[in-house]
Amino acid sequence: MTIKREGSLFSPFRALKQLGKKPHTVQIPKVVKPPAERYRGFHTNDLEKCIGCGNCSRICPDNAIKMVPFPEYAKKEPGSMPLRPQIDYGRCCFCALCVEVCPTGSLQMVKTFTHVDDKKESFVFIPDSKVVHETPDFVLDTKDLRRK
Amino acid sequence: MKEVDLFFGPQHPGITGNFSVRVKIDGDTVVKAQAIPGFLHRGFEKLMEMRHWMQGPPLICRICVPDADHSETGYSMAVERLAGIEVPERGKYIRALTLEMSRLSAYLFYFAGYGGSIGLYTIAQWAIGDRDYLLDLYEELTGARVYHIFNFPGGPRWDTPEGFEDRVDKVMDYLEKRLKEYDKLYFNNMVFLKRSQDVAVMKKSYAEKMEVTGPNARATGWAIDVRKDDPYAAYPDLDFELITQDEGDSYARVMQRRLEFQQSIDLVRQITKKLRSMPRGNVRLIPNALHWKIPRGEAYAAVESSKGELGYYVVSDGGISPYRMQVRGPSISHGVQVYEEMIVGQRLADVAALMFSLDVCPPDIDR
Repeated sequence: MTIKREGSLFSPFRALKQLGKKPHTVQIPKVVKPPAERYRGFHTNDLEKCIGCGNCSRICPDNAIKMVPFPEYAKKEPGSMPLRPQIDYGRCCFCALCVEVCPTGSLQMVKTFTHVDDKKESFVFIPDSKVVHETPDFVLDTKDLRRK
Repeated sequence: MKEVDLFFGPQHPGITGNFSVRVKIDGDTVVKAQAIPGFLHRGFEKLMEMRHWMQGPPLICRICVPDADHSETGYSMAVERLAGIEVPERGKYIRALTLEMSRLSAYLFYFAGYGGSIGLYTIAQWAIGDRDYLLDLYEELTGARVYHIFNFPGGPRWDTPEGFEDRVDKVMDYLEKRLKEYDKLYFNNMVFLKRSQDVAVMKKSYAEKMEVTGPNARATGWAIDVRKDDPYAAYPDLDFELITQDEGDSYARVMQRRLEFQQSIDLVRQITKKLRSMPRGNVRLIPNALHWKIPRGEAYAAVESSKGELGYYVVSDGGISPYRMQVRGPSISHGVQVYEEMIVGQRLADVAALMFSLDVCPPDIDR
């Protein structure tokens, strides 16, 4: 394939016609762009459904998951352990391998992903069924973001 | 005139990432250069020996940040060869789709980088903005924007969401439309032409000697491409011709990518068309991630990344982790050996521009 090797001195001025177009960016926090359905954010864990097998802790490539004792969940079912995962978000890389190997499907990931705090201890928590930091109602649909 | 030593990087804005070049200049002509990598050494190869086979992709995708999917796929293919498993047909197409989208986003990054290095910042902003539409698609398909952690040994993680192919095609239409505007503003811009034509000319024989691969090699007229030479994923079924040029200068290297950008858009369209006609569901063979043992042996698999041949050599001793893994990255040849020689005789202003022109990825050099 051959290409013409010639240029134009006026080509930079063609950028001016972009001035009337919508910007790519949105004004956070006035406008929040919704994450995709599959977005890998914080974890939730159904503590009743979880059997404390520790698969999530063993598959974690970052050693971010530690199984901590929960005596109130001691069950008589075979294979069930009174343990539940505790996740260190200072280490987590949000790969979702833990979710993939969870045999009961109790461990899930939700779309929220923002946590700001000056205490490092606050990044370590035991996920339960509640979503941490519910994000505000989304006010914009992604369709509106695409430039016309 | 007295010769002066100058350090370009690792803090220099014109250098791609954590990388440094020590140049000796006479006036503003470079007389000697020494590449200084190592600022980003993270020991990937050794770290992989301490991980299960399935724990590889979350780490390996960090080898080349703008082109993460090729790293994941290269590693996955080597493990699949070793384990003797075949990815389902639909899985191969989804894999090829992520690879071509990755190439498109990496080329947009390249246009942005080269444009910025010669002062065309409008292009840098356009390209980064347009790349975000591809990242939106990645977010929808994989759940993440930059490190997708999607291509695993056995196949891609999930099937495409409902209606995803249509949305991909819409973005491709948009990018094709934008490419015409890029042509007017960038590729026909006098500044770009003057700064790139006849700069750092690479001959085909030199490219062969220095093991230059990818678009840099094809810009010298050397028709090599892993997608054609050792086809993988869905590439054997896709219809495309190799694009080559003869000049081998910076201009040819940029235009090579511009032409391949159009080709990648066509390939993505072929893939989405095929995906629509295939039955949904079966995309991946899922081995037991915790106890998957790979038979003793060794395997090499290479992919054609946006920068060149990216290969993974994996050795197994029959256990649950690799015994040894080695990465053959394209940037070590382009960024260290070739760059040091080609920058000699060029102007000081081309030190950063040539680095972008060769599409050097410092994290890939250091690994």
